[in-house]
This record gives sequence, C-alpha cells and structure tokens, in this order.
Amino acid sequence: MQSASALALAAALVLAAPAALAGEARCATGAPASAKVERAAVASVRLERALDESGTALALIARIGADVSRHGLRYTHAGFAWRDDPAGRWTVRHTLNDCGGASSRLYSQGLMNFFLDDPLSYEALVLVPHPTLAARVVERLRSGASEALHVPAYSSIAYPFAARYQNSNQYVLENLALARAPQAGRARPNTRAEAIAELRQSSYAPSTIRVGALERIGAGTRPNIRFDDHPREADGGGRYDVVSVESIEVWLARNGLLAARRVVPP
Amino acid sequence: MTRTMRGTVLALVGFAAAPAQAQDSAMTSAALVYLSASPSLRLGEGSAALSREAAEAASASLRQVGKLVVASASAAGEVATIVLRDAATFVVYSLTLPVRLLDGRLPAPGAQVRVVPTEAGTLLDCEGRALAFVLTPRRDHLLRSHAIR
Repeated sequence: MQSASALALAAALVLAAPAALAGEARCATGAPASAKVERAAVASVRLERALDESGTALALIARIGADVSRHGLRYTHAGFAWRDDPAGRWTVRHTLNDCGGASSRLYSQGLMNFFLDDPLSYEALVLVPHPTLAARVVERLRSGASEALHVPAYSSIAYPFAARYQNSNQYVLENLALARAPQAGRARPNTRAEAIAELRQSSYAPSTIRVGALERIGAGTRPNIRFDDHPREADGGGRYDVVSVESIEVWLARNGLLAARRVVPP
Repeated sequence: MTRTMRGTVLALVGFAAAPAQAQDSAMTSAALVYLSASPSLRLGEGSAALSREAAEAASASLRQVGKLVVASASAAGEVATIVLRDAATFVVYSLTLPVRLLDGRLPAPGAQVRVVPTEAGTLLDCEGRALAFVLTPRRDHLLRSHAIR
C-alpha cells in the first residue's frame, strides 16, 4: 500500500511538468486567494510598464506556470500582448487549455488575468519582435487571420511539425511563422500546413523533453497530453519534441527577428 | 448616523468562475458587478454612465478605507448582495456579486473586510479570499476576459 502511494506521488510529480508545458488555466470555483490576486495586480502593472517602455506595439509575453527546469526550460506559456487592441490597451491574445481537458479556447484578456492562473512565479518574459514582424502580427490580429489559425484539439506536448493538435506556444509560433512568410504574389499564407512548412524552411528547432515509460503510462490517462502525433521513434527513446518559449526565442534570434528581450522580475 | 457617498459607482470585477458548461481558463472571466454607495444603483447599470472624475473620486475614497465590516449579506437566486460599512466614517457600500463566488457561504455580519490598495486597484479581502477587486479607473484594462473562440 505504501509503495502504491509512493508510486502515485512520484507519477504525479513527474507528470506535473509535461502537463504545464503550455498554457493551462486555473479552473477552481469560488473566490481566489487574496494574496494571489494582490501579487497578480502588482505583476501586471510591472509588466505593463515594461511593455510601454519597449516602444513596441506587439510583444510576446511568457509566464512560469510550473517548474519545468528538469527539461532545461523556465517559461511554460506564451501569448501575444497587443498594445492597440480595440478591446483595450495591452490585451493578451492567447489560447488556454480547458481545465485539463482535450481542447483549448482563444482568449482576449487583460494583463492581470495573465497572472491569475496560479503561476509558479510572478516573473514574466517580454520578447519584442523586429518591427516589421510585429507589424505583420498586428495585421494578423486585426484582420482575424490569427483567429482562423486556432485549432481547439489540444495537447500540451503537441509535436511542432504536425497539425493534429495545437497548444498555446504552438499557436504563437505558427502565427509568427506565417507573419514572417513571404507573400508570393497572392494572398498571404494562412494554414497550419503553411506555417509548419515555413518553420521547417527557417530551421526552427524544438525543445526536447524526456518522458519515461512510467510517466507515459500516467500521462496516457490525461486528455490534455497526447503522444499520437509524435513520430514513432520518439516513443522508443522517450524523447518528445515540443514548442517551448525558449525555442521560440531562439528561432526569432536566429532569423534576426528578435529586437529586444526583457525579464520582468516578480 | 449613517451617510452614503453621493450616487457613485465603481466598475468592479468580481472573480467569477467560468460557467459549468465552459470550464475554461477564465477564472476571472469576470462577472461585472458594481460597488456602490447609492442604494438606487442596481446590477446591470453600466459603469460607462459614470464620469471618469466621479469614478476616480469614488476609487480614491475607497482607498482611504482601512477596514470594512459586513453589515449584512443576502442572496436572491444567483446574486448575492453584501452591505459593507466603514466603521470609522459610517459610509455604507453595497457589493453585488455572483453567489458562486462565495462557495455557498455568505459572510457573517460583523466579518472584517480588509481593503488592500495596489497600483492597479483595490482588493477587498474577506478571510483570505478576494471578494472583489476595484480597478483604478485608468487601469481598468488590466482585468478582463473574453473567449474569442
């Protein structure tokens, strides 16, 4: 009995990280703890100040939803912060997993909401794209093209080069890829297949996480973690490629698309 | 003696859990409720009707309050009304919010409500739980949530 409990605990601990690799939301009912609301309020003002000081009209912002350091990662979830969204100044456009379920939804939220999903830390990362890229992403947001790219079928460890599932970081990355893609004398590309082709062409390199056999068994019971879009060989080695915030940053930098980076401390 | 603030209303975002059929992230998806010192104001009246100056004055007034006490709490259907009183000034506030935020438990008369000012707004805390967050007028963009699709 004792060993069964220990096993369950171990499984819960190791599974916490993959589950939190993209945007998962707090779904508890009732009023949140005041201390968390107060910290979110303070963090949101700090983040807004950093965004204002960046001078950009659009940035990627990222948060730390869980401890994913064992995968060599820090940030778990990214979204777009759009300064001039008609809905209000510095609106966060991002997708979030439906309470650990198999789907996601696309949200428009305030900066304070960004910190109200029980983050591990109230630190944020701001990545400012090159102005041309930022302007193109804004155009995608304004025109609704970015919304059309959202796919509700969700996996927190979705394979970056497959279109079966999509998570929050993937949504951001694919929008960036399509914003970067050249316009070849016709309408700008706007399919996930085109986004993936653009990522391959521009040498996007995903992060690789390790998932042990035991973890995989446990993860198989969670509807927001799917393995069936990954290449078969990934299963054998327990190594799965995912879209991390860090891999987005590296891709931006390698392609000369990252204008500035700033960590906003808690 | 009891006095009330003059007909002011603060836009206030309560922390509403998402409806059962859409249990999504939107923990704060924000039933918009109103904090008012005027008994004539009802749920559903828009904060847009309030001038910025009046909102700022009301917000500033609330930030001066150290502690409020629950004078009464009642529920009708899905809406709870909590009357708060500033023991020092006798100003009375009426807070209207979804019952579900209270986990089926209305605060008892006499319960203390701590007022915590921040740069973004003012937090009303009751026993460690956030009853409401009153956004500072020029920060009213910070807390809102809308599912696009």
